[in-house]
Amino acid sequence: MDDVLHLVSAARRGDSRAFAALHARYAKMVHAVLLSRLVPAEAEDQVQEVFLLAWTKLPQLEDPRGFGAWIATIARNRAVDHLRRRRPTEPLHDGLVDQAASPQHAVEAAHVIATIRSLPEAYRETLVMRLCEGMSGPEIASVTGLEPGSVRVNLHRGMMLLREKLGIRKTSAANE
Amino acid sequence: MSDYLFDGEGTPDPEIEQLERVLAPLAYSGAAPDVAPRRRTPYVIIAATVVAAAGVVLLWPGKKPPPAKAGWTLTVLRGTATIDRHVVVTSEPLAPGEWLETGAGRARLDVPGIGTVELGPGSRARVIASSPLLHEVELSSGKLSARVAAPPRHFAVTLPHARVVDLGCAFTIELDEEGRGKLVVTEGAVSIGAPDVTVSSGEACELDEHGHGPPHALVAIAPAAPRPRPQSAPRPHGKNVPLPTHTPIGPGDDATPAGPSRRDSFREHGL
Repeated sequence: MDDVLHLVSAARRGDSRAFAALHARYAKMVHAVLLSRLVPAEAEDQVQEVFLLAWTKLPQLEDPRGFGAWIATIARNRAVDHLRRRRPTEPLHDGLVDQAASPQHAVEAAHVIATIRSLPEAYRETLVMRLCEGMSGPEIASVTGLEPGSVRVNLHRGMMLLREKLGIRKTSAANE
Repeated sequence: MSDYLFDGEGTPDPEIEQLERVLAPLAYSGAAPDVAPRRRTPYVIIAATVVAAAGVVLLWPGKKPPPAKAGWTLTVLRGTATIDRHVVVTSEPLAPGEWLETGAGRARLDVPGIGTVELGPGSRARVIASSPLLHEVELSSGKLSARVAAPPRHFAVTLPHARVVDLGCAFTIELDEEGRGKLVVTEGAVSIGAPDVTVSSGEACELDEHGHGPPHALVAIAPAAPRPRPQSAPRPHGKNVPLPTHTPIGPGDDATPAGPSRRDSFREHGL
């Protein structure tokens, strides 16, 4: 947390390299917040917009230690504003088309991300951070400000709902 | 106690691993935005930059920049069309993300290696994917007729409440402003929805805010000569645990008219 305090303080003084370091640390979380609400192409674009907005609003951040939760709120508000400006559609997957091994993979990813989006809000962001961005539970707790225990609960409950919706029967008892 | 889902430790859960593999391509990999060093009056600098950038845009010659990914060309067939409110009279490239509106006119989109898409009056659409693996159009409203000469699943149409994936065919979609309408397949087949359902030549299905209805035969349209059904594609390499092993048949299926059997698993429909 001390390094975040240092980075935020430096960024507030105009240090763009410190802000770049904040981006490196929080971009995946911001993207996950956006991806849990927007289609992949839009989520990708909005990450930059969120960080640019954060850069301009940084002097307004009262507690630098709350940077993670603060920028997550900016991302959620940004997603809401974006959705209000256009009618929501079925989830897209063009963000992965260039990287997917096949259209089949693109279809699968679109289906899974759409299913995650149908979950309660408390679970979808955490699941996207874990399953899509590859963030670990402790890392998720660190950047969101949530307690590790809360992250663990969100992941497991969210995963249980996701399995139900995808029709997966739990085969492993490793995570009990 | 190890917990693979929480911290990635311990015995990996195969379903979680599979989900990670499926979703990994969506992970963020962008660079930090280029921010100007903060000065005493940052808002003035940022505002000035925005104004200057707007001025550059306004003063720039009126030529449209080339699309990020080449391939989609709009040709106006009747009347005029607009691309992000820029009026098109004859022909121009259409870049992904740009909204095309036909107004009272008609237009055609040509995609090399894919085929053609015609848009009727009152249509609003945009390209949302354009790559060697997938070309995709989002139809907000209006009428879209596609004739596709590409391998299966290389072309798709996203609708407000459903997604249509081409399996090698010709089809037409009509939508009103509320996203309600009809899909009609005149050649080959498409899959729609998730889990996907196949709609074959000579069949149609209704589109509404809940997605789509079951396929039903269209008596008025004579089915085209039957095409060979797409063959199953080789499974992807590596560990492959099927995700939805079974989707319960929902209510109302007993009333589904006889026709192609519903494909309950979105993975089952191979190429």
